[in-house]
Amino acid sequence: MDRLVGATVRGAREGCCDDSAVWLRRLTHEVARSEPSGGLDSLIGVLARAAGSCGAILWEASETELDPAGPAIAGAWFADGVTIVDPACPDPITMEAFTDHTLVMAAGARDRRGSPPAVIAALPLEYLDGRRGALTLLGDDELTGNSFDLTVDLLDVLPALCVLVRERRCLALVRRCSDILQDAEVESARQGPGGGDSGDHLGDHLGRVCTVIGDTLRCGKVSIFLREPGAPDGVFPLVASSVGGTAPGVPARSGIGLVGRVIECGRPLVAPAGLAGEGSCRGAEMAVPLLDGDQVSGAIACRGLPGPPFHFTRSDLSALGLIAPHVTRYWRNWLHRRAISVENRSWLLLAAGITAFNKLASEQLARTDPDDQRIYRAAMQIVRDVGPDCVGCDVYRSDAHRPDRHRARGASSAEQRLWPAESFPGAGGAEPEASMEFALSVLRSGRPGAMASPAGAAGWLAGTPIQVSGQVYGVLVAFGRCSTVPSNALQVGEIVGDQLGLYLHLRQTLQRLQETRGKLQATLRSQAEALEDLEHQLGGPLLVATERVDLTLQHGRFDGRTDAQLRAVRGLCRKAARVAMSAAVFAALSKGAAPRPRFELLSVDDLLRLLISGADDAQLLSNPRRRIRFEVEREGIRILNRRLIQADRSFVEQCVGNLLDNAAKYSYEDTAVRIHGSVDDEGFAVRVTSTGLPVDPADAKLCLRRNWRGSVARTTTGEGSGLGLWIVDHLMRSMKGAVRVQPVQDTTTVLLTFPIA
Amino acid sequence: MKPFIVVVEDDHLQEALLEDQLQRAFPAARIETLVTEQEFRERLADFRTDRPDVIIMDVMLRWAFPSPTATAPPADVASGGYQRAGFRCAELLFQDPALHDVPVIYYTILEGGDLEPDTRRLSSRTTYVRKSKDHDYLARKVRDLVGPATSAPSAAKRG
Repeated sequence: MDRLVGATVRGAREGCCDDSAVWLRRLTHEVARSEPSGGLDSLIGVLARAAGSCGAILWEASETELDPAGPAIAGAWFADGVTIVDPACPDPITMEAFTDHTLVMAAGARDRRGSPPAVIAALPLEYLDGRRGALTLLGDDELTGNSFDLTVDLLDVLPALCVLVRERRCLALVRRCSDILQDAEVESARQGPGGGDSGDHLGDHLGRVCTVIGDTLRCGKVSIFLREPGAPDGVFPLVASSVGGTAPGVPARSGIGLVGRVIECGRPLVAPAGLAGEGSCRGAEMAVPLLDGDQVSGAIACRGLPGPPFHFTRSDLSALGLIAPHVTRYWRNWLHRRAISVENRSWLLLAAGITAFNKLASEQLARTDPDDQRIYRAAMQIVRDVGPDCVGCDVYRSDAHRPDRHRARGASSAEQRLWPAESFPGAGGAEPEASMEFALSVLRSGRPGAMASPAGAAGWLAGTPIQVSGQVYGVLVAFGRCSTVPSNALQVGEIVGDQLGLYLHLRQTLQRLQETRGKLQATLRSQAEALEDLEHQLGGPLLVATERVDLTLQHGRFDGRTDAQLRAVRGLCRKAARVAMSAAVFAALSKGAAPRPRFELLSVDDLLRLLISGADDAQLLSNPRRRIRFEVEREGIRILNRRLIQADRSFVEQCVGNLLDNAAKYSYEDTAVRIHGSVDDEGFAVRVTSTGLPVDPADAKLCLRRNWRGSVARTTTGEGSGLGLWIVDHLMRSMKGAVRVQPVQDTTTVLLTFPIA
Repeated sequence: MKPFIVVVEDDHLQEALLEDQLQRAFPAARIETLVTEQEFRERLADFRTDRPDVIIMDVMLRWAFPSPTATAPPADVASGGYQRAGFRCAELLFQDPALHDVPVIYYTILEGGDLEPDTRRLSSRTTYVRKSKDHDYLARKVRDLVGPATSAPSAAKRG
């Protein structure tokens, strides 16, 4: 086909102003209402219709490194039933218009009426950024003067409108992607840590972003590749794609393919159709890096559709570039949320583990022979479950706690040594020598420590002393396979190490306590036996001495002074015998044995003799300068009448003697100690009433406790051990009786109640 | 000059016997018996002008006899208690510049070994004599400190 070249565009514009206004309105209206994804095509459609064409193609300088850049399709419109044969390659008319920046009309177009549509004209165009472009019109007839003028008029505003359409498309793309990612953030926040941050959720949300990009930029496939921190270098797994499917995609590898080159160089790249894949005939492709600071964390890659525009423009790359920061930010937030979620789960797991450990520890500590190995395994299980990338643990005990059979021969006492107590999960963990060497370094430093790639091996080691309050029991070592030490490995080890230390400390303390308790019990037994022996050795001679003095007093005739001395001696013997008996009762009670009474029936006369004898002794032994009188009110006792009480005579003597001792000790000068009796529903009560140091009524029951002494008594006289009433209480209870203390101001009555037989 | 012997003993049964024995051993001596820690403290100021030649001190000693008008004991007595009251009295003596060199004989039923930790920090002019029916040993110890007895009995008794 011949061509008309060099026609002046402005030369044929008269008389078309009215039509131009109408079509301009249509054009701007189309820009305003069109969908962002198809805006440019619609715009070209208006232009084509204004020109009376059945198709139009808008070209722009391609986004390749070729110099000069060739034309590439930016948009296209075809009437129904019209297709373009090879739109990827510009026709000569278009090429000439693009290269020479001149209008080129197809010659002889009028003769082609009835033939398939062909290029009838190509108009040069200059975009606002200075790049060249062209508009190709297709039809089956040449352009008329009016149509030509109209097309030229509309072409004047086309660059500005193109910018407008593209900006609207970019804005819409960014807004839709941002909305998706924002919704994803909101969903994650609503579901709480760990609720919506699984890999599936990430793929779903980013897949929707891919779909939106694909729709807007008319891509055949959009993919997002992301690399996790700590993942192998240079490999970026496929995380999401606009094309459905559950099969894992092929990861991008740094330096390989367009995406690999983008990852490697860290800047966006676009490749025209046929150049994307190493000599293959793949469609156009573009990719932008996902930059987090100066690190490339991934890439977004797009492949073009087999239809127009067949390639990616600078505008497409810019639009994709605007999405990249949003995806990067979402990925960064997702990783952060996942880290928090993992950490939360980790602490929850740790808390549950520690609770279970404590339960096990308390069970084991309650046993006579705790199973330490079980405790070690439980501790190591916690570290393994909770610690990230932890594949196993070793527990080493310090040599100071090593059983003798394991102690290293010739080991210096000054040198700190360790012995392997337990390993988990057994063989196949860390190198034993490296682990032991590392544990020794932790023991020497006394602080937790970690190291990566010990002794040239892969993996990490983290160790913490097993200790409590500076007492070191050993070292806990955890190990894993990663090249770096996980962030919280030391913290977890430290917590579990402390817990283990606490268990061992408690175990050792309990063991010592048990040993001490055993020794104490042995000592108490020995003391009780000694007291029993004392009672035995004292009791016999005192009994004999008392009886002989009694006999001497009954049958002999002495002057008053000698008689008084003998009575005093008898009183002292009886008092000493009571002290000896108190020692024996104390010994029995210390061993947990109860006093055993030898019951007999006591009449009122028996009781009177016993009480008078006790009162006489108390009188003889009391300090005459203090003028304390001991008086038995016989009538008060005789109310027992013919009734009998069942009691152990020696126990009664002991009880009455102790009460009179207390009365002598705490009575004021020149007062009387009354010994009288009463009968009530509970039985017969011997009552000893004295006036002296007051007893607080609140302390009445406390008086019967072992070693208890009232504050006034303790600070005033100081003497006494607090055993007298405690012994009386036990003796009375052994006889089914009771002792009660009834204080009223400075008068105190102590009642010994016996059941009446 | 008559020797002045002070006996601090709260058991009236022992006190009378001890006083008799001492008076027999030291007929010319003036013997004063104090029966509570409170009495000893009250007499301490007088001892500066009427200095004892020796003090025979019981170790377990009550603070006072019960009385409706009794005052509360000082803090050191309330916290220190009755078991080692004799040492507390001796310390007051040794802290007094005028009395610090008065010899003290601890006369007690307690074993010497039980007293060891408490006597270690006291003056070198202290002696321990265990109570027994043989009063000659105590008399010899007193004689070592105050010289032989020369005068007729002259006991002063308090309490």
